[in-house]
Amino acid sequence: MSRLEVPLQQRRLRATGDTVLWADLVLSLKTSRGAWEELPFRVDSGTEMTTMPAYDAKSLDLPIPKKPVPHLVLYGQEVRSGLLRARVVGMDPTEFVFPCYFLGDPDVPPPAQARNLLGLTGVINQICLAFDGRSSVRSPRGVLVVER
Amino acid sequence: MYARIIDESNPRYRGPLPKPRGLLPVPPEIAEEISRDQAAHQPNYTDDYAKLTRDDWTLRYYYEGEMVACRSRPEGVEVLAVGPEEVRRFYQETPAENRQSVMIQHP
Repeated sequence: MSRLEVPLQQRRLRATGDTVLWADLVLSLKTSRGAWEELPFRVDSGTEMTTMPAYDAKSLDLPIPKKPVPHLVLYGQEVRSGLLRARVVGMDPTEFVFPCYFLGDPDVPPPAQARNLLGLTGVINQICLAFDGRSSVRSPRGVLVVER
Repeated sequence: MYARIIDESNPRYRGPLPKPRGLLPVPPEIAEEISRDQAAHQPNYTDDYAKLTRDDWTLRYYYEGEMVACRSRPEGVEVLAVGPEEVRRFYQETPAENRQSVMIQHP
């Protein structure tokens, strides 16, 4: 078994004074040429399918389908349904294959609110993701626990 | 579904800020706030966690809502390209050995 604890990150909103938390998991992604590129994904249990901008995927030379899926739109953008060949940075070098929707035109820059999201489908059957909000020596705000 | 919070009271949204490249200077208010938080949350607020937070807040201070290629260095966060076109060009033109640990971020 391989296990990783990722500190939950925090920021304070000036407008409300609230401290908000999140976890980014860094994946190393296999490119079309067999090289590896690192990219952070926001872990989001409310997201059904892992997504990333098609523009970023093309910039990193990740393999993506040529044509979008007909009649499928997500956040108002066209969808290319593909796969990420990934390792989890900080864990053993096991290579995972995660389904991913590449959003938007690969040659049109993504909207400002774009972000890579790690969703549930095809992910949690391969790695266990759990949030532990107890303060520890790893992080005052808790950790994301990742296990294989 | 992910909801991105835009806090328009951040300095980023209150008039133009410099867009430094390379190693970003840490704004004094960020350094002070992190020092206060670290003192208040001992022993669990480690130096590593302080650096993680300082890098994130500094990147967000200058570049929230933009695409950047950047990496964390011992001295802070280093920005190598800003904006979609520049980031794509950076990846196309920079040899892999010169961009180790570089990541595309959307702070």
